[in-house]
Amino acid sequence: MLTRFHLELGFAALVLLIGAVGLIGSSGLDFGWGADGPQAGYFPFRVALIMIAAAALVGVQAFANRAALRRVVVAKPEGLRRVLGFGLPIIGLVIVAQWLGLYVAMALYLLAVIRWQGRRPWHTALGVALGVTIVTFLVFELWFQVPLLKGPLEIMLGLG
Amino acid sequence: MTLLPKAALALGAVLLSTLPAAAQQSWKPTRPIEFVVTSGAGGGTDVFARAVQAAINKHDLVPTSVVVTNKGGGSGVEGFVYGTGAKGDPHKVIFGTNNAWTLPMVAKTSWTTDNFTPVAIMAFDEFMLWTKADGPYKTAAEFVAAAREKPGTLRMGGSQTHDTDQTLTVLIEKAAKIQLKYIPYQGGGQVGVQLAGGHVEANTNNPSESIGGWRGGQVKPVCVFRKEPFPPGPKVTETQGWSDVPTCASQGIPVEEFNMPRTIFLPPGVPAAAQAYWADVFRRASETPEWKDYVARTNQNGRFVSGDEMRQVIKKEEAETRAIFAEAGWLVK
Amino acid sequence: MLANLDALMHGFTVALTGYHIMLMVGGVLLGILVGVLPGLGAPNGVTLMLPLTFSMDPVSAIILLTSLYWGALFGGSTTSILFNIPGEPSSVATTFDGYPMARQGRATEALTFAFLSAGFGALVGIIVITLLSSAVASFALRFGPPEYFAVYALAFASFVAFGGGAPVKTIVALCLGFGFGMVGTDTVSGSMRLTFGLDELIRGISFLVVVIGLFGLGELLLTIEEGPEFKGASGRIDPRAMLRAAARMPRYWFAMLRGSAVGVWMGITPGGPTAASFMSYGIARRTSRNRENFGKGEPEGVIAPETADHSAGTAAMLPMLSLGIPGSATAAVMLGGLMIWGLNPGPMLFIEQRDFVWGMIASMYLGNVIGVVLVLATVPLFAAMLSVSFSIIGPIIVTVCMVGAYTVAGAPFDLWLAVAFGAIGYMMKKLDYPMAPLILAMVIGDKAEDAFRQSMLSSGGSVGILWSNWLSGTLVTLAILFLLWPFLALLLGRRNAAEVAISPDAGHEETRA
Repeated sequence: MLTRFHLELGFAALVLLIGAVGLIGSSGLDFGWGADGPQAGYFPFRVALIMIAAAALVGVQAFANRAALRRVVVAKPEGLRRVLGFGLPIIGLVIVAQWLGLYVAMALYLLAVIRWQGRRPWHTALGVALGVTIVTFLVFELWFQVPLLKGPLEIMLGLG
Repeated sequence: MTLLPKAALALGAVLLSTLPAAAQQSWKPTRPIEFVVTSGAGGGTDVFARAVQAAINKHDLVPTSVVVTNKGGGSGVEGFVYGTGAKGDPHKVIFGTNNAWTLPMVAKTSWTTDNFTPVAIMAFDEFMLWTKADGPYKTAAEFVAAAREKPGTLRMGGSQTHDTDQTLTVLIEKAAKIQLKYIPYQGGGQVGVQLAGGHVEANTNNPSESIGGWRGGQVKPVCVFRKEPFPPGPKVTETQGWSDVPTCASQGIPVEEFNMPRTIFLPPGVPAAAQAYWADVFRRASETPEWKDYVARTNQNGRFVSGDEMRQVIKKEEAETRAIFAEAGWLVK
Repeated sequence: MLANLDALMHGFTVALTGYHIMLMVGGVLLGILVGVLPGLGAPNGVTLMLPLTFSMDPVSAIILLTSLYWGALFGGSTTSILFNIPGEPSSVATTFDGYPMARQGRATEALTFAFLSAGFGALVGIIVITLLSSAVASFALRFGPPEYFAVYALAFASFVAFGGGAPVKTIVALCLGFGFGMVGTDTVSGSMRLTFGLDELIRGISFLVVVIGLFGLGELLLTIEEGPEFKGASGRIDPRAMLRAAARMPRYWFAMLRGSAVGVWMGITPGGPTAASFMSYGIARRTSRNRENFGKGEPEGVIAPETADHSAGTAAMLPMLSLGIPGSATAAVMLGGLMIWGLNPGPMLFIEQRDFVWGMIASMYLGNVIGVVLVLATVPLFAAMLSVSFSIIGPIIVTVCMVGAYTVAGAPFDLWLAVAFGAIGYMMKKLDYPMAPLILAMVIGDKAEDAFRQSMLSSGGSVGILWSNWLSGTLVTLAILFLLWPFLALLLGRRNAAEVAISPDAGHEETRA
């Protein structure tokens, strides 16, 4: 069970990390107020500082309210399971897309998710997967001439 | 002993003359072609690539389809990074300017100009000095005099930092021994309007970027960065044409010549046959009426350069630019 | 002004031919299509049609392209309302109340409100163009860097200062937005900022990818957590619901006028449609009688951004034609088109190319009317999509999001970004972090910074330049007043306003689970 307290702290830590990375990145630039006004790093540096301070404050507030926040459940186990069940295949889609191209990846993703997660019959899953992929191809590649990420299959077919 | 090199030379010459035709046989596009534009949609390079695309489509110069994609992030670095990623693929053609060799000087890039395969320079865009039409500076000489009187106060608008406009501004400052205040904007169109509104005192726009403002009586060209004035042509405004604009050298700004090549490259490691194929396609495109019309309308110099001559141009320009950048302290290590 | 009306009549004689009306219908339909798909936008549509226009005469060409633009503006609201995925950047603000309405089963109503108010806004924009064309053009010339900054600051202040939610979390959201917006090349110094030597970061972080992640994917995760089906979204198509909604429109006349005024202002000045819709939403949320209901499915929260978006989109055509300033990516492509057709944007266009300019303005009246009718006709179609089971439509929306994220820059890396922002969006929603400030900060943060630093270059580092003339001085002062509003309200004894704005951690006891 994920309580609000833990999620508050976790997200504050993430913001803190982003702020720290920003601080490191902007400290490599000139971050003062030069003769011609603010230099390249002036705003990034200060934004990063404020971000760190605000994240710390969120953390402190959460800690002060920890008794109340611990009682608040952010996501129940079954809900969380559904979120992961839905989110992880998306990551799979992105990984596959990097080397097989977006078309193959989206067809596989639709097929798998609709078949096993949606528990739909094979013909529905296959129909949606192929239909959406083909329509996307027609609209983007042929009609609007916006090339999408392609992989070995498209190149083999002479489409990429 | 002297015979051999001569024979080899003759053989080489024969080979060279038959090479383009032979090369055409050996490579031609088999997949859709992508024109990668190193500027945003609507920018000068974008209009350039689309004009080429239009000429190629109209006259069926290539057997497959051509799409244009804009990769103008980081002043065009994005397009060249993309080109590096398409190593060895002659179906990706990269359209740029001198940014192909200036970008690696001013930014940390993962590529250098030498990585790319030069194909052609299809035109050279001219530069002019513009002032506000109803402003206090009627001529370039008056502008220079005013700048000398109040060093570092007259504002020069330009498109982007450490790019052609700012390079030219530095050259003007050195040549005329004046100091200006350079303010970078995004795109020549915006720079033109900033001048028309009196938010800067001058700019160095290309003719096509400010022709509308000139005809509308908002801005006027006071000199051109060419050795000679433009050749006589039709009137642009009611009383004046491009040829009436004096050279900057004659106005006390001894910058003899400054222009921006419109370049085309292929990704690294493509076969020589593909390079020859594309050079030939673009040469033929440059002879179409559509292309001639584009060059005339935008008042560019339509000189076509390819092959070794292009390498020479790049080498010369690169050395000159590097010297200017080094002195201005813009080079990154 | 009378001369303008004369010219407009002449324009109608140019625009009103069977061929041109056919072009308008075709353009609008195509526009709706690209507007609905998050991966495609008006710029893609216009770019696609550009080669086709080379053989047309310029009036027909511009009629086709502008009609496509109107269609895309209309279509962009559809997915905002139905799926919380903005089809166009300027439809982000429409999600705030449009999507909650759809979830309450009022999708038809929300879409009808959106399209009718968009049409109204467009009409106001065109009327302003018609009557004030010359005055507006010279007004736009007054905008230098300090004035640009002032416009952004005012838009920003009027949105953020009136926001609800915990102040610390608003600040976190703002900083994240500003920070992500700064990644990439810095216009003023030319140096790379926060790229850490990574090629993928050179082009910056596109706010469209962020929006697709935060809103699209993030919302899908929230939906799936609560249950496997869309809740409350009724797929039943009821034409009478459309008529009932249309009949209720006049009740919101004030909201429509206010939104249009904000839009026209932002269209003529360099603010642009996206900032206009945020600003309009912010002002509406602050001043409306129904402000308690904002963010929970308030029709005014749909009307305000939609009228502003469209009146800004149409009004922005004027600076584009008369000065050559592209107010948006679409306008930039159209400007490129003008050059290829052999026309040069500038004041002379209005004198030398009367057929072109006034034919186009006349076509804007017609094109928008056609747009409203056609897009209303698509409402039943889109409403029907809601009746498809989530186990099928959910994954399809995921692929649409992914395709959309990829097309922004053609970069596989952006797919990862979208997924990361999806997770961030989910957490932010869970923890009651406001997302709108993040988006607004990304949209205008770096532009405002550029304008500010250009101003400082001009003045040699003196902030006084912002008050150097009445225009920027007034705007900046107004922006500061807006930002200080919660405190001023407190001083003036207006407790309610103050409590909404600065009550600490109002969301803490609230729970979604």
